Amino acid sequence: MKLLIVDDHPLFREGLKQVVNDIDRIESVSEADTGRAALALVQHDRPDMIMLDLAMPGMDGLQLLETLRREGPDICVVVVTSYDDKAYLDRAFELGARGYVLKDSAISDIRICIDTICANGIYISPSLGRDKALTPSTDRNVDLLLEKLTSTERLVLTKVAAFMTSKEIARELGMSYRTVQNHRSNICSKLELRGAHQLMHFASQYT
Amino acid sequence: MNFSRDKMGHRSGFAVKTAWILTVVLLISFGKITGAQAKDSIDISHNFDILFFPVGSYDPHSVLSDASVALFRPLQPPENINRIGYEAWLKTDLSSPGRHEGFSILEVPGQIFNYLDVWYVLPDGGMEHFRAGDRYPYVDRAIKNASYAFPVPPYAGGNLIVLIRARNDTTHPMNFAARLWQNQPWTDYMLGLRLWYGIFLGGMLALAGYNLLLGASLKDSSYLFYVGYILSIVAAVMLLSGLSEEYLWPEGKPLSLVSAFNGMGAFFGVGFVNRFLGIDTRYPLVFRASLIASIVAMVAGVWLAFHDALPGLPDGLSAALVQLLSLSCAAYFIGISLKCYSMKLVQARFLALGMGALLSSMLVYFSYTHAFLPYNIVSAHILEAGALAEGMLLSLALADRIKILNTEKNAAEILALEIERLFSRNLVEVQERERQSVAEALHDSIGHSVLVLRNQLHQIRQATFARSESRNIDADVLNPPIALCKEVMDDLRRISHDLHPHILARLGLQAALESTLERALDDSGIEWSLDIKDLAEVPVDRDVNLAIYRVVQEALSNILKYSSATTVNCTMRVNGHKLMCSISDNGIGFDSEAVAGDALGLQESAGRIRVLGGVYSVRTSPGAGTEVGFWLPIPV
Repeated sequence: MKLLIVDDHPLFREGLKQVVNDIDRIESVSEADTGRAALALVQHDRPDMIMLDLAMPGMDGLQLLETLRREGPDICVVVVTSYDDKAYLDRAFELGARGYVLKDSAISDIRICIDTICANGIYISPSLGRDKALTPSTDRNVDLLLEKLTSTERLVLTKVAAFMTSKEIARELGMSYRTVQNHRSNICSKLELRGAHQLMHFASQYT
Repeated sequence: MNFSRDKMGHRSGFAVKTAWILTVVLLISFGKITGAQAKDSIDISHNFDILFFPVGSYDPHSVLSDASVALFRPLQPPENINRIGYEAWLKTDLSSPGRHEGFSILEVPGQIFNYLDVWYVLPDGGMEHFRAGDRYPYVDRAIKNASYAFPVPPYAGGNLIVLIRARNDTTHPMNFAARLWQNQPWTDYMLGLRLWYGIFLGGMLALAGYNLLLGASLKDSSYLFYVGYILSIVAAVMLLSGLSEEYLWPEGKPLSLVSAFNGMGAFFGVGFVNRFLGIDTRYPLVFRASLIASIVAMVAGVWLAFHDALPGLPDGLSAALVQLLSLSCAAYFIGISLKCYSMKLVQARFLALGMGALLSSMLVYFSYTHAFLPYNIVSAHILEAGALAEGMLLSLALADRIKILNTEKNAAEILALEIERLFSRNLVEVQERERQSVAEALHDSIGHSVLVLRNQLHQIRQATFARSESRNIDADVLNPPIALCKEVMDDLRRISHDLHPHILARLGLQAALESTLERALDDSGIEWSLDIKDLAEVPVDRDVNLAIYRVVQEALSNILKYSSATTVNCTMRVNGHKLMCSISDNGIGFDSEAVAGDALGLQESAGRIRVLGGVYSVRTSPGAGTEVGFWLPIPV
């Protein structure tokens, strides 16, 4: 597996590299210190996974994530940031990120994060705390919950489970972006989920 | 000048109303005198024959008996009967053509003569003599009146010859007219004239007094020039109408002072227009030239009032020169007003109109006195109407200027406010930029260094664990510094977040507010809600977003510090072109007057909203919670 680390702090990149170098399934690690450099490397190296910092001068992490989504390469993106605001978490998952790791605990979290994602899951640093990770009701309620959804909503949910962004879903199902967003928020309110990350977590686990 | 708009509005309104009332009353009294004259008097000017003799060469007896009588020729008014060094003798027979019995008064209206003698040759051959004129004592007049009138003796059945001698020592042309009156209409006419002059004088003096007081309170010298000008005109009209003899020189007026007031009027008029329009700074050369000309006019006019001629100039030329200077000053007045008006100086409009009114009335009046127009009530009295109109229009100009200055001042104030606002916005922007750079420095440089430091400590600890069989003292000593690093990082993150809301720029207002509410309130267990509607539909620029964010931030910090609230509601709505926002809590509230002085944070919030053209308010009272509300204009 080819990994690209995008961060403007060389010391942090260095630390992260040391950790991931010990992970067996990582074959090669390349580095970029700006969004633009990262885009060029994506074209050239075709990495399988990107570890992405959010705060960078020039094109920041969210913008890079959006560009990657728009241009379509199917790359797993793990956001590695020191921002612990839920708003970033939501936005990152909305844009199709698969993991959200806090820099504070990156050294200890990164290994399990990669494992979870490779097992087709999504990962959020536990230190984000409280309601950030999904604590779903017991398994036997899941079917009951799913029955509340309309067929279209269930279709949208399967697409979410396939880590598609709203735009991609809209394109595939021939709906407008806004309609997809409406479906998503209806699903969230029916299933009592807060934010894109909880929805994605639920979708990836139960569909 | 420092005065309020209301006061000025009131003043100019008062002037306009007064002007209207004066005009209406003036028209009524004018109607009264013209009506009386047209109905009940007879113009006999055309009945007179005229003959000129050198001054003092004949007396009435010799004029009547001498062979020269044959030289009398018919008078054809309007005709100038003034010849320097000559006396004009005028003669008519009242009983032919047509008998004018029942008419008891002979009026020689219009101009002021130096000497005017009337002899009646009675049917029985006896003679009666009356005299009037400003060189004769007023008290000698048989009919005490400003204009000249003489009783007509009864001449039932016989002939009544009237012989008039008119003599003037000045070079002014004299236009002769004569009318016969019956008793009652004459009384009415006299009342009408008194009313006319009363209104004129009263109006002019009221204008002068009113503007004198106004000028004193405004410390504006153009008012003084106006008053001087108006009083000069009043004096000149008093002299020209003959009223001055009645009230000032009943024993006979030694001098004609008209030229003096003429010159003074020129000086004050030019001074007024120059001051009023600021000619001294606008056109300095023109200002100096006009000032010199008007001073010369005044000095020459005053000199000529006490002497026969200006030094080194013949009689006729002196008077003409003074008149020419006065006329040039009037022409300058109207010319410079029009020029300034064409240069977009609106306050010049009433000046041009006012002088236009006076000049047109003067044109008619002097056409009459110079015998281009016959005597009638309009031509003889239009000067007063013109002068009064000018007085009112110039007074309006002064009121108008106050209004204009006031408008300009308001515009300047608005501009100053705008500049101040722009300056404050720039200040806010600079402050925000600095905060951002500090926040970034804290977060990126120091924060990352601490992070790396922590990771390195972590790795050392791991390595130590790996080397030793069990946990030992060497590894455990690293726990406190690692924990400290975490604390430092949390602090840095919080401080930098407070300093600069990076979420705002990246994810928008709603996300930023949510994040702030969460950070501020979740830990303290305060329930909160954020209700934003329609915000996505309107364009809101960065400054506005930042201001809203900061105000909410400040409100939250106050809630946390003082309110003891358990719930906080934040709502935001778009209402027309306004963005309304409120942050309310159910806390203990406060006495807004008690903290008014030292609530720096509230002041800053209010300032941020104000510089963006919005309104900020805090509604609270002890025990009743607090609502911080504000609205901001949305750019269209």
